Amino acid sequence: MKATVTCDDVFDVLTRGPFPTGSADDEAVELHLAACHDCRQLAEALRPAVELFHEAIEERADALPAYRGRLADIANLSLPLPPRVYWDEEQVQDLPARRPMFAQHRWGRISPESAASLVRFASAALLGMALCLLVWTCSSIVGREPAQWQLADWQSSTELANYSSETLKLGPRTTLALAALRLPAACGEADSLPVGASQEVDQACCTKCHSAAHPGRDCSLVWSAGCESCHLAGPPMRLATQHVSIRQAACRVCHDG
Amino acid sequence: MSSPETLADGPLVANALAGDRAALDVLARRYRPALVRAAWSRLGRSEAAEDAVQETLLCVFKSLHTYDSRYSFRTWLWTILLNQCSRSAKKQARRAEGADLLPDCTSQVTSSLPHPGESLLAEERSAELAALLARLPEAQADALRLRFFGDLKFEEIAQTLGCTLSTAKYRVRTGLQQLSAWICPHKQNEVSMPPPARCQP
Repeated sequence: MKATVTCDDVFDVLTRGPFPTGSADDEAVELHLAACHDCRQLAEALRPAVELFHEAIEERADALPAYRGRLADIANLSLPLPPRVYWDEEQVQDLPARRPMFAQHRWGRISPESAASLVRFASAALLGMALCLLVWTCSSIVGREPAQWQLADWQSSTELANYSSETLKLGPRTTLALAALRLPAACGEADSLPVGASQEVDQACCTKCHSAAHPGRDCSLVWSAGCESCHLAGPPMRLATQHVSIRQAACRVCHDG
Repeated sequence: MSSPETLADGPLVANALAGDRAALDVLARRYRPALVRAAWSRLGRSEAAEDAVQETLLCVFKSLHTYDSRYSFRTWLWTILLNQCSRSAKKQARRAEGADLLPDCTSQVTSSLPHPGESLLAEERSAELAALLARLPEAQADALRLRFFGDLKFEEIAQTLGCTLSTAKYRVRTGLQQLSAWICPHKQNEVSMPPPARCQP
């Protein structure tokens, strides 16, 4: 820079970076600032903003994300390319035509997008069917009372005879049905049969006495599972409407006729 | 023969026009940091700044055949960047209408500064500067960006912004004065009070 600087030169220096810059021209600028009140005022006025600019520039340069690895050097390397294979036109014509993967399939006429959609649809349908089957199976098991799980599956009287009535747990609905039967007083006293609807019967009421192992006192025709063979195997409506017609209901044959 | 790194912009542009890809690389490496700084100060987000600079360099490389060598290459380059930043800022503003902008954490993750405190201070200064520049009129802020981030001469700033030399100087001067007034408001009114550290002579 020339020895004598103008105000424009000083403004240029002041807006280029923090002053002093450390160069040989600083002395000339300082001389000008000492003599020029306007430039000195301007330098003081601009200093905070200029310093902020340069602090931000210096630190921002470090803070900006940048790749500092070795790949830039590797990218500049000129690696030998693999030898290329050249084909004659006749050889190319002899090659089988390249077809997309789906073209070799039975769905060759379907676009890959459509085929993928079909596969997705079929998978969803199969999954839905499996879920429906699972729900139906669960509901058919849970909907029955525990006793029904066993009695409904027993088909023969032999199996009923071998049934251990102590394992039965009667629900409130069955208790109500049993309470409605006109049973002899001996049955109620001897076995604590449910007379009221609120009583919970732990065991199969009639079968406690009238089982195969303990033949009944008054009954000639008692099956081992007794009341439960009818009253637990069917739905509640059947209990109310088909009492007379059910000959297998041992208790009813004797006591409710 | 001189290295491409030491060549001036003019010969590099000529080489690039002749098909020399290395000349384009040199130009990109030469200007990219300054362009990113300026774009960041304008857009406030590292990703947006990187995108804007990338778009700018792509545009330069695509349109290099339209460059008029009577003018400075830097002027041409910075004009493209400012235009690109304006477009990006408009897009950002439209996107920000629906959702607030998340804080920019990218630079914190990849910062190479030694101490977390220093990194935080640097972030604060950069953010402070970006916020102050955003308060200035756009013409003044762009003039300051070109002056400090682009290191352009006043003549080049005038060419880039399409104004006269005196207007360019005026914009830089008034912009700096306004920034200083915001940084040290006491200087305007209370001369006798001791200024904060940044304002001390």
